Order: sequence, then C-alpha cells, then structure tokens
Amino acid sequence: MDRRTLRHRTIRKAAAMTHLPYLIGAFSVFVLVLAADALGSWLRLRAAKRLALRRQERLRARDTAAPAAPLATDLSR
Amino acid sequence: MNSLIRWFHQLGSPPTFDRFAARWSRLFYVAAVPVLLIGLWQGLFVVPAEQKQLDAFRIIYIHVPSAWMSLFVFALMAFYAAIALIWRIKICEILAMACAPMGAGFTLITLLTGSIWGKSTWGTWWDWDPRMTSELVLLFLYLGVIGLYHAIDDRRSAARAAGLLAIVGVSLLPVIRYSVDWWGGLHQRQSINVFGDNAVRDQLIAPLWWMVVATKLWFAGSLLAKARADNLAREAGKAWIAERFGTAPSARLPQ
Repeated sequence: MDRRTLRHRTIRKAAAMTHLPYLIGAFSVFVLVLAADALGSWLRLRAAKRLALRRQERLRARDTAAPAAPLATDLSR
Repeated sequence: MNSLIRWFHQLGSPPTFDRFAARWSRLFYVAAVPVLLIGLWQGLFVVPAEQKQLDAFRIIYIHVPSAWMSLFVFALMAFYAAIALIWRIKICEILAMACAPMGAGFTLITLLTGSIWGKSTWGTWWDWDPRMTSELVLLFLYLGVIGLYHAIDDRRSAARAAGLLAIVGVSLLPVIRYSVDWWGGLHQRQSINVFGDNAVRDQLIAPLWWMVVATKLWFAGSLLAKARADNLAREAGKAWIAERFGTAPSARLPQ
C-alpha cells in the first residue's frame, strides 16, 4: 500500500468514527499535558543553568575584586 | 565493592548525577516519541471499534496508562522520599520532588479523559464515585506535595516535609486500587491485567502496551530533566558547577 492510499484510508476512517468530538478532546488533553510537561522541563532547566551561571560569575567577580585589608593577628581594642 | 553498587553510590554525587541526567533525560524523551506515535496510531486507526462502546473505547489507550502512571509515580515518589529521610541522600530528595509535577500531570489526564469517556458512555461528566473521588484526592495530594515543597525556603527542610506528606499519602494508593471492589460505584471493575486474563479482546490490547511503555519512557525523561534542573539550582555556587560551565567569563551554557 503506498503512502497516498494509506493517508486517504486514514482520513476516511477518522471521518467515519463515532464519538469523534470526545476522542479529539481526550487525545488533545493527553498531548497538551505531555507537551506542557516537556516545555516546563526545558524552561526549568534553562532557568537553573542561568541561575548557576550568574552565581558563578558573581563568585568570580568577588574573587578578582581588590583584596580586603589584612586581618590583625591579635585582638586589639 | 561490586561495580554496580559502586556506580549506584557514585550516582548519589551531584556532579555524577548531572552528567547522567544530561545524557539520559534526552535519550528517554527521544525514545518515547516513536513509541508514543506507534501507540497512538494503532489505538486510533489500526484496531477495530469495540462492539458496545464503538470508537469511544479508544480513550482507553490514554486513560489506562495515565491512571497506572498516576499511582506508580506516587509510589516512586514516596520510595525516594523514604530513602532521603532515612539515609539523607540529597539526590533522592531531588528525585522525589521531581516526580510530583509529572505525577500530577498523569492524574489530571486520568481525570479529564475519564470524564470525557464517562460523558460519551455513561452520559455524565462526573460522579462522586469512590474511584473517581479517590483519584481526585490523589491529585490534591500531588498539589499538596508541590505546594509544600515551594512554601519552605530551605530546600532540604522543604523536601523532607513534602517527602513525609508523600509517604503518608501512599496509604491512598490501595484505596484507589480496590475502591471499586470495596464500595462498587459507577466505575467498572478492573478489566485489564498485566499478568492474567483480560476482559478486553487480545486484538485490542496491543496499542495499550505501546502506550504503557511510552508513558514510562516519557516520565523517565521528565524526571531526569526536572531533577537535573533542581540539582543545578541547589548546587549553583559549588566548584563542580564552575568546572562544568567553564571558567571564562563568556562561558557558554553546558548542553
């Protein structure tokens, strides 16, 4: 069976289905939740990478800044 | 020490886990897509319509795997939370909390697709039936775990508190599983068994197994991606992050 025939047969079969609005609704819910999950994972990962990068840059900036005044070796009033 | 046990111990280290999760989360997501497409294709277009419910029965291919996942993920979350509470393994805390969003997602799919299926076959969107009500309580438990984890500033205390809620919540799982047997209701009894006879014809079962595998693979990808994000956020100031991100100020984000 070639691809065109398969496509036509699929469309005909889908059009002849009973309860089509319910099927579309249910399968849309499934696909949307999985897609939202994948998008959520990607956004969380991106935000975490940016946070880590910012924190590292701040630490590096602190390390390269002018050194603090030397601490006294003994206590003074 | 056995190499498998050593590998397992090493996986508890944040840098090792980050490398592992970076590689495997993508692989699981990619592997899930073709399996999911095969399952959806077979479920929608290959198997014939059922005699009584006609095409409405095709909702089984998303409803049942999602319902199984909603229970499995909660049990897994409680398992990780128990390990984290007993042995104080940080990665297990992270994994337990990463289970919750996708678990809530699967529970939401179960409730919504069940409601749509109910309308097409029973003629009602919702009934306060024991199975449906207990599944709704499961969704609230997932939301409670997520809310509690984000309500406490200290990440470790938050994970411990939310983990405790997950462990207590496990007692709901047998209630959901046996609610129909104990109290009856509108929901049908279990018609599909992994090991045993099925009330559904063999011809109609194959897409279901594809979808069961697909949801497992998708969940594994989601779990590792979310756990990796939480791990990176918690470890942001650590030296291994600097190595992973490179030391140059214009370092590129790692893949």
